[in-house]
Amino acid sequence: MTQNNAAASAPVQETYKKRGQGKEIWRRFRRSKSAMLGLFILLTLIFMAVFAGVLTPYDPTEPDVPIRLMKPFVDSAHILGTDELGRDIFTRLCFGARISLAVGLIAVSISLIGGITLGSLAGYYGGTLDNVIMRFIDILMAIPSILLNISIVAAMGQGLQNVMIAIGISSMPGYCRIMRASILSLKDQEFIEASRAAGASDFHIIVHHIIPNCLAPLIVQATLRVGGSILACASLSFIGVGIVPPTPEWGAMLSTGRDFLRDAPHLTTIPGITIMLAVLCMNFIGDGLRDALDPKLKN
Amino acid sequence: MKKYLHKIAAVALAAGMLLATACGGGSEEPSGTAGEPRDEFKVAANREPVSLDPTDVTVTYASLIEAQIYNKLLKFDKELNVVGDLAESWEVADDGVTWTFHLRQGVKFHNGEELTSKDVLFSFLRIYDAPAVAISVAYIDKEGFETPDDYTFVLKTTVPYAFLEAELCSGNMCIMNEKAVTELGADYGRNPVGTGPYKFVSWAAGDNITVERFDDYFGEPAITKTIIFKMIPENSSRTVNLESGDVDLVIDIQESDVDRIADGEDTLLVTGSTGSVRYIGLNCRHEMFLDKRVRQAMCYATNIDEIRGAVYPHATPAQVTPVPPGFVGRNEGLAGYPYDPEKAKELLKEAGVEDGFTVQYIYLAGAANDQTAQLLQKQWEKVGVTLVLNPMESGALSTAMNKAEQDACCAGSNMSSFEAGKGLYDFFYSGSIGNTSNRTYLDDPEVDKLLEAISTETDADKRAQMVYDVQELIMEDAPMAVICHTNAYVGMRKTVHGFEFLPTGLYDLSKVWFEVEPE
Repeated sequence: MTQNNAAASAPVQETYKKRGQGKEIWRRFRRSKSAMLGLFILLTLIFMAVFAGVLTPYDPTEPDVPIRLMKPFVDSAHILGTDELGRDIFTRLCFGARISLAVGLIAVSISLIGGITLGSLAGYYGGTLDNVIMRFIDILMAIPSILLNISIVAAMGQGLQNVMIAIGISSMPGYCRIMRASILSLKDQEFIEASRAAGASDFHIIVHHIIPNCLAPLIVQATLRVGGSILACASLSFIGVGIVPPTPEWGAMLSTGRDFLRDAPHLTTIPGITIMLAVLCMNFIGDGLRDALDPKLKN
Repeated sequence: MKKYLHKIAAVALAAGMLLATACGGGSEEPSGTAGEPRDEFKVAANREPVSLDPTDVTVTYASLIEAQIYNKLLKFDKELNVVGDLAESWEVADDGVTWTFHLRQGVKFHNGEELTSKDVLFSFLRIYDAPAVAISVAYIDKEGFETPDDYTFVLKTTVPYAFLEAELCSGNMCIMNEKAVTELGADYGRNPVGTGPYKFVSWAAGDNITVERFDDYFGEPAITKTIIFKMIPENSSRTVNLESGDVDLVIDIQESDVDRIADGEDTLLVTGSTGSVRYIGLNCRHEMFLDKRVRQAMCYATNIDEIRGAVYPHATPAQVTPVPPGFVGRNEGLAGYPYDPEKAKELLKEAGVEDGFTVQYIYLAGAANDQTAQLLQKQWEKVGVTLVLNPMESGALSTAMNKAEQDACCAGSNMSSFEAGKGLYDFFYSGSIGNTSNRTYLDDPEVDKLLEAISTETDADKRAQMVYDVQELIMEDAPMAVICHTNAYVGMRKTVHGFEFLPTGLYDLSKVWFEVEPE
């Protein structure tokens, strides 16, 4: 991604300085209990996702009909019980974590890249281009995001990949506006003018000077949106336009559990709680980051 | 064989979950003595009908509502005997093709018009122009109708046709009023006019359809004044609404709630066979399934018992043939394709596709079908066949199926004429593609010949024998793996009176009434 390239090609002195900044941010981030709790949950989910194959001996899609609808905390072999086809729910949660985290990460990357590009163009060049881009963004914002997601998935077809693209597109406007606003406040400052006077190209100025200076609000927004994307993906699966069975997606698990709500409520409550935790942890982290990155609260 | 009406014995459920107790039946006590009849009751409908014009695409609930508003020439009674409805008597001439119907006199339509043979003729002619139901008149000669007087109606079949009476009982054959249809034009579907015990009153889109007792009905007047059909798409919501008393009757309780309603303090369950069959259909005209051996292999690779046990525990097990139990001519002696992955692999090898292939599998999105699909996917995977699941919504699914786009599908159909020969004809006759029952697109000239012969064989015993024989031929072709025969589960409040289960599903609600429940 662009900012990584920027960091890699930055002079040694700047890298050193950034590391110092990172330490400072971490110190302030650590002070927030909720942020640390969020980080802990996130690390647990990442652990579950990475070691899904090792943590449980079961296949997330292999039915075992004789033990269907087993209740949780009854049998230590199936600690969270089994679903309507006798599949281990804990196993499905672990494999589902892979999907949800991937959706969160990739959807946000898509919207981040799209948002940064469009926002930079609009903010830096202004004029007609600004008008065209921002009116397009206004249109995107005017459509309820769930509706936009459904239309995009319906147009491109079902599947994980298309869900990520849909969610990425529908959450793009936020980044775009943040980026544009930051650029407007930056582009007339002296160091930009100096850079331009030294003969730097627009591309160089945007990538090396403007984007690094806009990163803080973007990081906060991105972290918060990871939770939103996980939720959006689960909602799409819940209404049946997202992920095709037997993929162990959390929202899809929740959706199938509906018909067994009264006899086997764990089919819905367990994935439901997991989704809640995942979204909550990203929100905690996002809030913590916002405080940590805010220069006004430096000391 | 005809024990269609019986209440399911209460089967105690294993320890109820917390939520179950919390949401249970509400505070109403069942009343000891028969109380006062209420002047309205509510029926839950799973989806909104597109229209109440009987010649439009029919869904279950539209048919049920239409059954209250319209009459047909003939109808099935609860033992599936054909009896007169608007026809008082009828006879077939010696030529075997000319049928004369003598209509009831003094029958009034809801708009005040009197029923005449002109209306009957008009209703029949309308069907020819309606693709969704045109199959019903496939054997009736369009030029052969006669109306010698106001109360006599004559039709001619193109050949001596064995299933004419059964066909005239179908929900497609409702008699409409010529004047009303012509006057209302495109609005007719939302303002239906019939001769039935209830007349249409109002339609609140997405919410409810209301009908009211028709005082000039020619038969016994309806007991309850108003019936409200409430749209409740969510399966479990219908159950909850019934338990809480917000609706009084639900005609399609989902399988997983059957025990709950049967055991409910305020609810009872009536169940029976409706001549329905649920199956996995292979597209016999699709490249990979052209070879009979491949189709047989897929049947061997399908573990029907596992699917039925997990998804349709209350349904009647299938015995290879799609003909439901109780039907005359049902062949229960077919060897079929017991679950045997090894045999399946052998057959695939013989056919030269042992390396496997990919199958596009379409079905109506929903809990039961999703489960079936996932089980099937794992079963077929064991013989090297990859199943790509394609859940669809009902409109897209019908379109795809009518065009035979899928490789395989999960579908359910009714043999609604209650004649195995007619049912098999609709399912497997090569010329019936596009008809809503034909999902395998089988094209076997030998089967075709026998099915044609069955349709024109008027001797019931000979026909039964032919039906018996054709099932062996058809299942040899392996066009489908039959999962089970699903039953109808009708749930109602215990205060119900006069409900009679009908295998057709077209229940007569004019005799149904509910007691006033104590607050």
